[in-house]
Amino acid sequence: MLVEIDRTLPYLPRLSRIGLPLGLRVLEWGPLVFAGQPTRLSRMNRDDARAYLQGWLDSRLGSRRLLVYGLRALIFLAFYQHPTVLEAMGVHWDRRLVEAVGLRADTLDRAAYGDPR
Amino acid sequence: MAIPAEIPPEVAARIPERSIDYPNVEPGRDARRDATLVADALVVGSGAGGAVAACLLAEAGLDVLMIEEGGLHKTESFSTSVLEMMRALYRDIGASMILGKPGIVFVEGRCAGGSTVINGGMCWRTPERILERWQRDERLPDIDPRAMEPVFAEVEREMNPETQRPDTLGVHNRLFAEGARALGWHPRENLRNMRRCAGLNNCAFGCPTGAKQSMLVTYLPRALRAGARLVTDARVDRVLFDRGRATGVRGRFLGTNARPTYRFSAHAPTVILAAGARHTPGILKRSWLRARPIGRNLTVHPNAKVVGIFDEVVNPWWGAHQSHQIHEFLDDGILIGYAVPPPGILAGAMPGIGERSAEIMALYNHMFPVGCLIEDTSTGRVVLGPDREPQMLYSLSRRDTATTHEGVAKICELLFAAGAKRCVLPFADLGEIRSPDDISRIRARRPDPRGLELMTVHIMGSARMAVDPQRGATDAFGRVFDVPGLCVADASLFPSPVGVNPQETIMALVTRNVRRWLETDLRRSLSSSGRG
Repeated sequence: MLVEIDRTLPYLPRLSRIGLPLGLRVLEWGPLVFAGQPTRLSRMNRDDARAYLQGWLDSRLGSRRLLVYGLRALIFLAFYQHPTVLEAMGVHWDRRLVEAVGLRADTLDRAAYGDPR
Repeated sequence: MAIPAEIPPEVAARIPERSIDYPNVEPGRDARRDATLVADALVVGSGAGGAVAACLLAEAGLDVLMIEEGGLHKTESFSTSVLEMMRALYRDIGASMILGKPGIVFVEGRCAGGSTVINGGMCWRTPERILERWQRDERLPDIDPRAMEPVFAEVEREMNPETQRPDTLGVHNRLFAEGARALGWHPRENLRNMRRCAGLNNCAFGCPTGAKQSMLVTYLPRALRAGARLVTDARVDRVLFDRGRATGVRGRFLGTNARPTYRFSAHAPTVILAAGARHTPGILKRSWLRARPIGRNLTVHPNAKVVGIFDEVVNPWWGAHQSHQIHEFLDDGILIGYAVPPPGILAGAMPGIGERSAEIMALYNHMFPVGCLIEDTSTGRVVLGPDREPQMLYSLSRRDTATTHEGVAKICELLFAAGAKRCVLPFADLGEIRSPDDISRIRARRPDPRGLELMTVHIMGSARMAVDPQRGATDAFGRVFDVPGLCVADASLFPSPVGVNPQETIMALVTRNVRRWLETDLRRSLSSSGRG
């Protein structure tokens, strides 16, 4: 998953490429400022971390919201394309691709013999 | 990370789009030095506007050079691997934003074939009321429905709009039509540019079955066969001029990760910008053209979506992309359709983090996202940012916010009529409703665009056609005012939003305009070269 995210970062808009590393540092050290807790995000317990991140998502400041929404979107993209995750969810898009290409080839063959559909 | 699907070679060989030949293509990423290129006509961009313009000009006998910022990705390279396809085919991996209230996510293609490679292939003619308005209010000639009829017919001969075969419909296609009919609405079978679509629903990531008749498999190879050349991975910075006349463009080739490498300049007596409604005005502005209408009049067809959650299994990944639309509210500025994104994309649009997000995404196979496209009356602007990149500024008016609320309310009516148990809404302050009785809460919401989640795949109007230079950036046939040799050929030309998917409108307008250029401005180049 991390490899996929790493490959994707260079394709982000220029301002995001510059802003993301900076934003991640602010997010990491933010509990001191935004949650009044003398710790870092990576050292918080799970419940506190979740509440802290939710605070960013609900923030009135657009840039704080955007950072966490953007990060979340990137992580979801990488996570939910992993074959194991898709298999566990019962999503078989890849298998369907093979079927669909075959189906279209058959339909084109039929069309060549006069079947309009 | 994703394992690519194995298509048996004997099956792949029976799909004509998987073996298209693309002659005369030069990848800019392979450039090892600065380059100077020469042609009769330059076309910047290879989407619905650029590919059509290049094809018609090449078939008329001109030496055409297409310059495309993205790469050439052929049908056989497309897969269901979402991130890989987004990196290859999307600008900014789909993370572009329109700045304003609210911020709007904007997605467009950046590849040979442009956004037609990643759109749903909706192929609707411009509504007659829109064409009549452009003729009546904008005084544009030869644009009324009668004049445009043969142009649409010409485009459709190549694009083959057809409806979906019943055996390729999934549960979501059925639910949409049933929900609409239960309300007394009349779902219209969608016309999509496709040849016997098998209903894979991978349209937004390139069509691996080859059924979608995007520019990649239609006008683009046709242009290349007619002798046009295509340079990929080449980004145009600005237009070059000589004594007020456009004479070429200059830019940079792009290497690994789309980073600029060597410089190029391309020279021709005709320069056609078809880089889309964001980058076409961006190039014009970077070229120091200062006419006031350039970049103004941006409209965006804002889309709001509602995710219906059903008890029954929907399996949204099985079945055709948007086989139906609801057109009966077009006069109110609302088109209702649907698109089922893969879990990775839908998760980003659903609420929650951690376990809450995982819980809701575990219901993916029970979800059905439906959206409304709003024919907006608000307008925005394209401006150059501090990095000289074009940025879009746009805020939704109260009127359009109210129309969006109405669209969302209608979608909820449809989803509940189809059997949904919950509807996840695009409002920060009203996240979900669980009964049709709650729909009144949507209509009662203050028309405040803040807290509204919107996205769009259509931007238009930022270099619009007009008969008056005070009102438009280009004349009634897409020629930039006061700059001989410079034309525009994309959705920037639209005087107003069209209220339906705009691909066929772009193609038809460009066909109309190129025919006019060939009869007038370009006639001399053709006859002087002995090709006319």
